[in-house]
Amino acid sequence: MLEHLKKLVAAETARTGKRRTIRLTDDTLRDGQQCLWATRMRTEHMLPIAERMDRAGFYAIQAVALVQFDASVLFLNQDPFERIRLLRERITRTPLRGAIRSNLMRGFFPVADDITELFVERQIANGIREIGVFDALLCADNLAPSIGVAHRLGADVTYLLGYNIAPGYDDALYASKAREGVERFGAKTVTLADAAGILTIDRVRTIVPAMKQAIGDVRLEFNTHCLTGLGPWLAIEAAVHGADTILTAVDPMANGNSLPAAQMIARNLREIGFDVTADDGLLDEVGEYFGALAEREGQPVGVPAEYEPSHYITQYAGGAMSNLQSQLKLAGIADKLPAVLEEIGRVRVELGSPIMVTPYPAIVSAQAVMNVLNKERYQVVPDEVKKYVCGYFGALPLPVDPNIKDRIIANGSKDVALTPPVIAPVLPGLRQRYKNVGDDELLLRYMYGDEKVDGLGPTAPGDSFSLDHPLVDLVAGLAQRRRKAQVQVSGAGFSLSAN
Amino acid sequence: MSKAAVRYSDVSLTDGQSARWAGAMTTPMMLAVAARLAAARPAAIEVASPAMLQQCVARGEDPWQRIELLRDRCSGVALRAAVAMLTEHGRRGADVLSTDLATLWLRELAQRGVSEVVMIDPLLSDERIAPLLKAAKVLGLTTIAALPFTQASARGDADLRDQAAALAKAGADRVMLRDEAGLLTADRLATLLPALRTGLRDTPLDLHLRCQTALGPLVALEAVRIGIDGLDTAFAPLANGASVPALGTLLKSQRLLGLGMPASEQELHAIREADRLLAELADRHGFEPAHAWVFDLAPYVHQLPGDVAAQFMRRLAAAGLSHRLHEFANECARVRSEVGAPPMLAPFARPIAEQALLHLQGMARYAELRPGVRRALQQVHGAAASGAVDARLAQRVGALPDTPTHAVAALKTEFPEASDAALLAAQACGVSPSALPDRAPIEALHYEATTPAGALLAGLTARAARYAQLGVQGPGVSIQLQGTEG
Repeated sequence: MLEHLKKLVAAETARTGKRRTIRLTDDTLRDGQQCLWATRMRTEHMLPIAERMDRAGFYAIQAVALVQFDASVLFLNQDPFERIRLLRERITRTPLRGAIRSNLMRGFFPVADDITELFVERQIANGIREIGVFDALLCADNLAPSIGVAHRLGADVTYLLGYNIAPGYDDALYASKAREGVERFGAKTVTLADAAGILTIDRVRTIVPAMKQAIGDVRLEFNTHCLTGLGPWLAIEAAVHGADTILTAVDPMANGNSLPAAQMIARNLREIGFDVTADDGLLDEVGEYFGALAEREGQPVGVPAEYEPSHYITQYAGGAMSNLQSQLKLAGIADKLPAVLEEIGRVRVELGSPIMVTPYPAIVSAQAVMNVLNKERYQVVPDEVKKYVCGYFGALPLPVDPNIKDRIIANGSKDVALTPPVIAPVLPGLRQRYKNVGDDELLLRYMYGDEKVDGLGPTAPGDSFSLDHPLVDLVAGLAQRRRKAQVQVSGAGFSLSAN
Repeated sequence: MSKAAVRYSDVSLTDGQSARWAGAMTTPMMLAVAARLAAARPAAIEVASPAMLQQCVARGEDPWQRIELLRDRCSGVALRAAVAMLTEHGRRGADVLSTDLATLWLRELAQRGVSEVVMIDPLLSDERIAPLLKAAKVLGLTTIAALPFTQASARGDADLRDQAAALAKAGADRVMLRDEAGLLTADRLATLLPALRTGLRDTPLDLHLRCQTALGPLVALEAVRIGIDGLDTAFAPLANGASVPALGTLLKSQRLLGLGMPASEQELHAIREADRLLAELADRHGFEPAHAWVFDLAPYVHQLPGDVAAQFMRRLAAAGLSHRLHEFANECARVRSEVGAPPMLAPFARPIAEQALLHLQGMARYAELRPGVRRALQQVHGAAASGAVDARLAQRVGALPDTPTHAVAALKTEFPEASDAALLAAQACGVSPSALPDRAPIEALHYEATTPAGALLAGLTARAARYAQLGVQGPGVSIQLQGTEG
């Protein structure tokens, strides 16, 4: 294997006359902690190590996406814009990357362009220098307004294409979508995003060259996850077959459900003949910090996964599956789960095989449940399904089965118009409602409501966060007190007394 | 391909625990889990190997007694043993076991109820293998001849096909392709398996495959899909990493992919129970928890086999050298080439890795020679077919006078008091027969499950005199101790 890969790289070096340099984009702070810590990493956890990450040689550092906004506000009571600012103060050489999820903001339905545009604008204003844009339908029109803002404000665009196993999602489709991202939008980077880690080695060897050929000198970035244990291998072969950048996480925030490890990818790519811009010593220091942080916080680190082919077959994300189970249970039809799952597979293909990320699992499964419960398939059509085939969510990547489409339109609610209505701007109303409120706060209030935003607390200034065990901090704190006749501390699972 | 056609042999108690738990499993631990392992109904359970003999002797356990007691507890399941014709210890006259001594080994195993033997000669010497296969037949043993997988050979598949054919011709009942460094890929398997079939004709083909590159389970499934007659597996806590694939995962994956007859819930349940028992054992004794290794290209270069790979990855980590893994791998490959490119198996792999690590740690190349490297240069085990020894190194170590291998008769004269079993184990491990542990009284082999809390309590009690008063409180445990002295 190694000899073969070395030969391929050597042949390329001979052909082009120079060793190709592979860059790493860091995803520890965004996807790594999302995969391993359910996105519970706090801003103060990131600050003490940010400056060293900045010097480690990454092409870019992914700072936030929608999930980080959600977790930050809803669970950590922290302002995500503040996180961007504090990271930007410490990360000055490496571009910080933000993201948008199409025109959905954080909901299930498309929203007005003005609010999405403001969202992009405020990420950039707070320090984001690259915007990752993603639409689950691979619908470029949905992304055009955000990209326009990014370019107006001088930010680069990273154009993400989600990997999907389905009829019609062939290499030619990905090549043409990649070309569209470059030719229509001037994307600086095109990313093949394999969120579920379901790429196979054979597919990497065809899809990566096809996409690279389509975009020429534009940077091709490769992302996969390690659920099958094959992620590192896929990433190495992706580089050999034309990827310029690999998304990685710093070990031990890598592997398991997370991304391949930066340290391991750098070493292996160098070994087969590439140059890799990464400071290994710094990466190890960063890794040590996150290892200690995980221990301090009682959070897991990435444990390498054993290969299991089941991951390629389900394609129905864990979260969506548990939602479906509980819904069926509530409806008293838990026994129908196997039939519903089978029907989901059928409905998905008939609807043009959308990538199964929000909101599409919900839309497909709603129709599947109706099909299982009623005598005739598509006899009852949920409104979202009719909206979906009528293009409310955007142009569909592959046509919907015409017979099915007819039935959906005939049996769906007459209240759902065949042509999607124009969505009215929301900013004028918001500005009316929130006078004397800055745009960051306005966005957060729009996304999460007043109560949540009122409860946000500031992050402690400086990099004072300590990695020591809480007990050590406690004892150190007690030691600083001048007088202590008797101290008694008790809590769940421990008690401490000192005279 | 039906599932009934694939024989799954369990190597948890030999290769599994050597690779994953550094050989820390004691006879009482094995006896405590054996019945549960047997209940999962593998085609065979491997109970003995050269490494197992060494582990027993080092720990003061009688290996033969272990085999006998495991025989009692694994009723209904065939017992298997691995026998190596080359030894690693370096005692003159015992680098290669004579045919009569190896036959004695087989007889001792057969007498204790072992019915299958894997015969390993990394150099594939027909002179050594053929007579031993005959001897094993006479003893009624099923013989499985090991065919080491090596990736770099001039003719590749054709070489391996010819070697497989030679083993079958020499009389092996089965031939086992052994990929102890886990280097096989699905691509390679696609050409190699059909080639081996051509060479073997009707002789069944088994596969022993490690997981150092993390591809093991994938390659094992591919082998089942293309057609393999037997696979070595282990229970989950002793599988993956430098060990073989996990039986439970493999059967579940096959069921999902529609390969062969689907495993029943009952079978999977029995496997889960064995997995659970071993996981509890690991937890109780602080053995490494089960997890896979990360894919890496380094194993394709260092090619270290199972437990040697595990040991040296630990040593690199302990020395803070993990980031120089590829350098280490390249140095292993270079040393290997300089000592004549022997197969990366015992007795060659460990000394090559030791020598490479010394070089990596800054010793001038070959300033000192590891004893095993010296023996490899002197070709005490016979010439490796694949490569030439570095001339300057060969000149430096010089040639050894021919030393006849110890014959049984001579050994019996020298050690008239020793039993055959003791003689044999002593030769295999390089110790005096008198150094072999005695049989333990059966009650001493009873496994005591000590919980961490129990161990803590015992430890605190033993040290009670050092404390005036001690309180320990945690979830579910509260210990108060009053010391006798202030």
